[in-house]
Amino acid sequence: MAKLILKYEAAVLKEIPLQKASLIIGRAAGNDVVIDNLAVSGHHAKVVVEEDHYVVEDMNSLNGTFLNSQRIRRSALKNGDEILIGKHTLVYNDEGGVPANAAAASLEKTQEMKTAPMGADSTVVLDTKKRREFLAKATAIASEGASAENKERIGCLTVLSGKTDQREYILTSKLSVIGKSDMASVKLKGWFAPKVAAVINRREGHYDIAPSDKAGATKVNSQVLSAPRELQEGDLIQIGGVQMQFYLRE
Amino acid sequence: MEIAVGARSDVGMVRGNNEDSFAVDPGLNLFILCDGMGGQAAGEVASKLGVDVLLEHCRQAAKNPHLGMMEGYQQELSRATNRLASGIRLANQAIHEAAGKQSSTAGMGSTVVAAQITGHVLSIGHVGDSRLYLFRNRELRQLTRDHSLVMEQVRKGLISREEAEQSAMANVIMRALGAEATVQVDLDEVWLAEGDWILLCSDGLTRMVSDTLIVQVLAEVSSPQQAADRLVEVANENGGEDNVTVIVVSVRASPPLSMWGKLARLFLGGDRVWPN
Repeated sequence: MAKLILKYEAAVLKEIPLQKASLIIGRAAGNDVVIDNLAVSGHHAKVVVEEDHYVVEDMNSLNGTFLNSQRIRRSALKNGDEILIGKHTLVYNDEGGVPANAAAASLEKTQEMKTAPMGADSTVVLDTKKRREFLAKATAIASEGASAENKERIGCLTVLSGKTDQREYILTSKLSVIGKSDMASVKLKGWFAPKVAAVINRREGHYDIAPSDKAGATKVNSQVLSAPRELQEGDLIQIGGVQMQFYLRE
Repeated sequence: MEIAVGARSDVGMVRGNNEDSFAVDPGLNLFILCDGMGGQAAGEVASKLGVDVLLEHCRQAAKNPHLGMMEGYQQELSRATNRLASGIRLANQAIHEAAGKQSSTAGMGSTVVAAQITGHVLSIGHVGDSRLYLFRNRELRQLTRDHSLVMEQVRKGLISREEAEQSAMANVIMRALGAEATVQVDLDEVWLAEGDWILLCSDGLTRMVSDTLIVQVLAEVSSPQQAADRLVEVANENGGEDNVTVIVVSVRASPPLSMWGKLARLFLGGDRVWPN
């Protein structure tokens, strides 16, 4: 029987036999495989049976799913493949062969697909031109794989003190807003926190921080932020009573 | 944020027809500019089709948030930006298909530069050599990178910017809507500040009017419409060799809300479209 081997760095944590037609991996309890790590999304990825093989599919996770260090959306699995989710690796092993009931299992999967609500970004607008679609899909994935720079370092903020909704933020978005506003991704709490204190802009591996309209709300390394500047590893960001440190990681 | 817009398109001094198309939707704060190419009327057809398909896609999405997206959703960008990309990909498909139908339109294509303002966020999508500039603190910054052969060479350090402007290959673009079944769309997001101006233009402006001159014009006008008119005039005064289209957008702070306005916003919640 095919199985997944869950590893953290070199240590093998668990062996997961693939018995079901679909297996969901994520941080939230209730997943088939639970990985409790901040870099893992609630429902991060799934492994599903398709005819006579298994396929790994990213479930719009924040930090992505990598197959043999290529970022993928959906890809077929072969023996020895390594799926990287956050810092954990799942090694696919099918030396025991794909289950005999794969056909039945795949039927179950198609039904599941029919009843599942259509995800907004998996839907393609023109459904009459199937062939064209597949072509578009193929090139989109190919170009995505090519453009995903594995070496690009991701910026993170660690909260040292003060009231925020998380202790650590991973800055994967193009724009990250710091403030009390609804659209803030780094959410400040407290009565006097500014709505938008600063905005961090990610640009080709660099991170720039810019002040908001409310002047003087943000300090970087104890200096009032009055114009956009590039964030360097170790920079201290201070907004009211909140202190955060910026760092980069692989 | 209070947004004001001005736009103008002109055939120029040399060409017989205007192959540029543009659209402004003040309700959606959506601005689209396409510069068509292809023989006879084909360029006009392509640019109009590009504008229409993208505009329609965004309008439908505004009514129906569950409207499907074309392939290639990028998680690191907001939904609004991805929506723009989706519309541009759809426009590409429409032009590509229309071009294949008749021999008269074979090989037609179009550039596109589109921008949408959602709250403080400016979403930008573009393909080809039409540009978007941000004018902030009297400084003009080009936020798009031309997909032209010469600019590609400039970026690789093979030729200088001056050489690129003089080059006979200046009109060769590497990417366009309609050229292939799928297209790679460049996307960007910028956090807007009060007092920012945004300029979308076809190459008919930038080839006739230098950046310094654009800065001068933007610094002395009082409204976006005045800026658009003046920029087109300057392009024509300098030769007007190509069609010129400009869309100018200015962003100002909203007037302070009355107490009732604040209360209404508190209860209705305002718009919460961003983030992704």
